[in-house]
Amino acid sequence: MDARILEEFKQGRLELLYRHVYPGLLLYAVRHAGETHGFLAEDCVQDAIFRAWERREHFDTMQSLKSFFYVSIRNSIISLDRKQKAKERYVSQLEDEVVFSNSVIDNETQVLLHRAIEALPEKEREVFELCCVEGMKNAEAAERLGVSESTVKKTKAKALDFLRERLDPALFLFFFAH
Amino acid sequence: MMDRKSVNKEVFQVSRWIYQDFIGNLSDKNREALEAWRKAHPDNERTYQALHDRLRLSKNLSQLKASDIERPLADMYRRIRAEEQRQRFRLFWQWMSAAAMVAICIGSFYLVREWKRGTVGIPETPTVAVGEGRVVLRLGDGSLVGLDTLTGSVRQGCVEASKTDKRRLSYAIGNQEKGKEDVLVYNEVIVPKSGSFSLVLADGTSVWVNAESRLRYPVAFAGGERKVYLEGEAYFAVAKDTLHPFVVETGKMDVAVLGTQFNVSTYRVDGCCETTLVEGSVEVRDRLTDKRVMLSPNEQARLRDGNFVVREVDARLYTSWISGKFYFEREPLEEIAAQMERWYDVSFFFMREDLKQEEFTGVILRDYTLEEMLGVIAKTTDMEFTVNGKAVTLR
Repeated sequence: MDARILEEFKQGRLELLYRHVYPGLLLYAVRHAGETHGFLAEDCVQDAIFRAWERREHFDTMQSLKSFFYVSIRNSIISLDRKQKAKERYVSQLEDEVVFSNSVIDNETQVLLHRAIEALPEKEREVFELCCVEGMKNAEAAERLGVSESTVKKTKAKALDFLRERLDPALFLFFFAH
Repeated sequence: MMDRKSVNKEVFQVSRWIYQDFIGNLSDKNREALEAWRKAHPDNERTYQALHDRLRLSKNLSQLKASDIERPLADMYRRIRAEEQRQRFRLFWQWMSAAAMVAICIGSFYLVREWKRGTVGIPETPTVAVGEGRVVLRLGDGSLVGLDTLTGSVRQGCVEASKTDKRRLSYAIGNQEKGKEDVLVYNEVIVPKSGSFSLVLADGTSVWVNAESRLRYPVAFAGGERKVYLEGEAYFAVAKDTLHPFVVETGKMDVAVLGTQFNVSTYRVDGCCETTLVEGSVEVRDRLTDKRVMLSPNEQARLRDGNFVVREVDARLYTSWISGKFYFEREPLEEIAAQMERWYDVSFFFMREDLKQEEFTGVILRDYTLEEMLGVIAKTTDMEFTVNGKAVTLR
């Protein structure tokens, strides 16, 4: 999937990128731009995508593209903050490399979870969201959904199997290569 | 470990591990690596814990789900199209300027080459030569004869024209049928730039034809008038014949004489026709208005806009060219340049308008090279010159 997003992006077709990558970037920008610049978060993301499009030949992997997005958004936010001379907590922290790395880890993990949820069939998705994301016990989820606890247990197992099978093989290769 | 240009690849690994942990798919080996990462920095552990804040997580995930992508996507397409258009435009102009650069480079290459030829005088490219253009004789039947290369003579009827000198053609009428030809056969001498030529006409009149001029005349005169047609400049030494006046016709002005020496010029820059009398007497006539003026020796008549101006001049100034000299007296550079253009077959460019009226007085031999000639003029005038091939720039 990542390879296809990148390929289409380089060809100037952005639908896949906007469906699968843009929401994560917007979430990141909104969270880190802070209250004062919240309304500018979307501009930061759009600028990052535009700049990437201008140099689209340079990206070989989805990671290098994402990496460019994050750095670009981060730089926009930092310069926004400097211009306005506001001392937003998140922003000043973003200048720290560890904080920046972790902010991306945080965001990317959530994007992966979001993608997983989107990929799941409806029933499995409900159970996965309640149990794995919101952290409900099987009984609580069963009660919420009006089904038996064993159904929840089975559906949850089915959902996790589904997700494990659907791990991106390209990413596996990447892990073993390093 | 982390530069500002990109995100460390470790970042994507760690987020993958945490995700795998969520779905219960984390290998033991990777779990160890994740544990190590959590201990590596306090902020790492904080990040890990934040991801397990269920409330925060579900809030963020619902935000991801809710984000509107249609509008930003459409915005981006508009922006990209605009940029593509701008790039095409820029590419067009880059191409144009590249083409212009190539043209300029080629142009300056040749200019430099020409310039080198003109001023440095590389052996195989001599300086502008003194008048050696091809002089052509057009016969009555329209055929052309090159006079520079002609040896021997040309016969037309009973008239024989023979080269008596390198630059001289003489007409002589044969014994029989003398003066009986009713139909006039005309010849025309065409002298290009850088040339000059002299003729002895059938009646014994000598004519020196200057550069860039043409003279049309009958090979044998008949009737009451001896009439010739001139464009440009010529000097006439008319053989005396009181019964047959000699008439020079030019575009605007006729000159009628009995026997005399005079110079007729039609090629002044200011458009004047000019007749300068050396000896004898001439009558100058405006063809359009039939105004007439008689000239005495050392008088010059100029016809301009239908009016004659007669003034006294040193006739040598205007006739010096036949003796191989340029004779200038308080002559504006513009007029001098016009003469040089004809003699050296070059073009003059004045970088300063006032330079055209700068005056020069002096005698210069016509077999000087262009540079020598300009050098003489530059000595006494406020003028500098550069010669690039056939272009002379004065500043």
